[in-house]
Amino acid sequence: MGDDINALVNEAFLSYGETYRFTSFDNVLMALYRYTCPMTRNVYGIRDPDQQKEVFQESALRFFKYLRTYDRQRPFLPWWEGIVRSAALDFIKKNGIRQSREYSTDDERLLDNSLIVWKRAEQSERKIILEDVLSRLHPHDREILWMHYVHGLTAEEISKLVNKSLFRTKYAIHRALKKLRNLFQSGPAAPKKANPERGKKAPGNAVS
Amino acid sequence: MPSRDDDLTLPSDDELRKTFAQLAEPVELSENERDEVEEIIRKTRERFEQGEADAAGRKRSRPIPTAE
Repeated sequence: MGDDINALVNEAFLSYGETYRFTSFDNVLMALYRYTCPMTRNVYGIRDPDQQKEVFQESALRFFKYLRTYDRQRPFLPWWEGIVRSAALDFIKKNGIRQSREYSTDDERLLDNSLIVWKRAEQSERKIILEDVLSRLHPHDREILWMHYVHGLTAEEISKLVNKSLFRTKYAIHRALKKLRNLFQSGPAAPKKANPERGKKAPGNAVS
Repeated sequence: MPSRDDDLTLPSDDELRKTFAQLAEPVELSENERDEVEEIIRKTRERFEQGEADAAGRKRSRPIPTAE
C-alpha cells in the first residue's frame, strides 16, 4: 500500500506542476482515506465512522495547507501521519470520542481470556484480540507500537519522527511492549458499572 | 533457568508483527462510501481553494503603506 501511495503522490505532483490544480491530489487523498482509517481507529481510538470522516476531513484540509512545505526528498507517509496525528489529537480534545459497540457476542468470547484464546485463535480472531488489548493502552504507547510493528521502523527512525532522544525512544518502545504484554496477561477490562450514588447530593450539602 | 523472554504464554514478536499488519490493512469501501469520501475530498479542496482566493483578495485590496 505504501508503494502505491508513493506512486500516486509522484504522479499527482507531476500533474500539479503542469496544471497548478489541487484536483491532482484527489486520487492520493482517496487512497489515504483507506490507509488512514485503521490508524485513526487503532492508534487514536476513534471507532465511530462519522468521527473518522471528520478527522480525515480536517487532515485533508491541513494536507492542502501544508503541501507547499512538504519536502519531496523525504518519505511521504510519515509526513501525512504527522498531519493525521495532530488532527486526531485536536479532534479528541475538542469533541471526545464517541463509543460505538461493535463486537458480537461471539467476538466477546475472544476477549474473555485474551492470552489463552490467543494461543488457540485463528489469525482473524487474533486481530480482534489485539485490537481490544491495544484499545486499553495509552495513545502514546499505541503510536510507538504502530510505528514499530506496522511500519517496521527502528528506534532511531521513530526518535526522529517523535522528536525525542534515541535513549528515550528505546525506553518508550520497551515500556509500551511491556504494557501490551501485561494487558494480555491481565485479561479483559472490567466493565464500567453505573454508580448508584452518583448524582445524589451528600446529606450535609442538602439545601432545604 | 528460563529467561523472561522464554515465557511462551505471551504473544511472540512475530505473531504481533503479523497481527499488527492485519490491523493496518486499508479498508475496503463500498460504492456508496466511495462516493461519500469523494464528496468530502471535493468539498475540502473547494473550501481550501476558496480560503486561498479570499486571502489573496484581501492582500490585493490592502492599501499600500505610504511614507509619511
